Amino acid sequence: MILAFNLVVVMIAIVALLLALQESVARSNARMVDESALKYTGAKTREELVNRRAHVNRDPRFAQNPANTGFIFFYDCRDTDLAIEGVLPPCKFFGISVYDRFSMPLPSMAIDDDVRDGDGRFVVFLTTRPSGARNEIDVSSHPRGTGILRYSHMERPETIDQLEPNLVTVPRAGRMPERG
Amino acid sequence: MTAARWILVDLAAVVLALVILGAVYQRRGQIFTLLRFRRIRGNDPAPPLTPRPRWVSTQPAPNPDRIPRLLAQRMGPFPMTPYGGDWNFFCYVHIAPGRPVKIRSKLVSCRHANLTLYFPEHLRGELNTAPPSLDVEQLRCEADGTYEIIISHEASSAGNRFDPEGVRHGLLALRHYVFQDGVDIHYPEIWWGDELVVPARVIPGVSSILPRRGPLRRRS
Repeated sequence: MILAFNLVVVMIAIVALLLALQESVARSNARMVDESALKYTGAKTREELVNRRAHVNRDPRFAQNPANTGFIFFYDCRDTDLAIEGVLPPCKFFGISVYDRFSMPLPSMAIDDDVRDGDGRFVVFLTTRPSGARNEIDVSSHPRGTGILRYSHMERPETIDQLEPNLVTVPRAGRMPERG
Repeated sequence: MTAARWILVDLAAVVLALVILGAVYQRRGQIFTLLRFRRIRGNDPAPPLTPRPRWVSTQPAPNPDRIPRLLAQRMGPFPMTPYGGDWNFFCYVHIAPGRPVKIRSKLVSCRHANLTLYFPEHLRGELNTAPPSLDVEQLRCEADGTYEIIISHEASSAGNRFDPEGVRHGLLALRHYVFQDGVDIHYPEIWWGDELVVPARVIPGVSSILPRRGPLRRRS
């Protein structure tokens, strides 16, 4: 009985250790991303970039393949939606995915076919109240986080700097979730 | 005596728990292989880091080949897209001189597919050159959609060949972008010379979240 209790305590300690390790890696990753953002944008603080500016992902620690390039941005959709506007260059794949603080992807993303407008431009909305539009990304599970615009195998990767998207906060469009 | 005995029991329990965790992490994510891969030099003449590699993925549940979350985080900060976004998986390969690595599989119906061979130096951020890669458009296939790719240090007449640039330890990454809903995903079999080290596998009827339906929202 006492032996079993002892084993349970140790198992709980191991689970706690795993959670602590996850938290530690999350903080380490966040520190790395923040440092990189400040270095490549010249911003003084991370808050200057939230909902305002995306930057080219040039950090070799997490941009390991030059054929897959893109922009990183920080979002905060607790009070407003965030519109991301830009140009779609010729490439094999364009997608926007968003991540929680543990670097795990949220179960919502958008690709070029979802967001393409008639004139080669795109607009994507990050929102906590999606209206059902195909160019919306639902961030209700994590209203604050980090996102990536990913371009795979661009025809002219040297033009990436000219593609910096605009980040604009906009009023929410979706309906309030119904209360049961 | 009693205190010493309980300390021993605790230690034994901790060791047991760590062994169990290690076994689970190795089976689910090949953690020891990946940890050694991140440290080794690509051209190190060391023997294979594991005799039994397998295809694994950083994409989250319900991906049947997902690696443990902590390991996916550690490979981050931005490992992959969500489940059903695209389908990506990777596998360690050992490329010995005189023993070509063969990859055999069948095309998956998707908008774009790509096979890339990463070296340990890419994962450490020490190399910023493009790793060897093959796009689906460059792939020479049989009429039934099957293909074979050879990775060898020596020249070869194979239709699809990777030059590993002298590197012996690599990480193959196979990506399928925007696959059709309900499609079967084929995991390639991998041969090291005449030895089949990774058998082929099929994940049937995979669900895709892309492309999406619905109107296009515009800025008011």
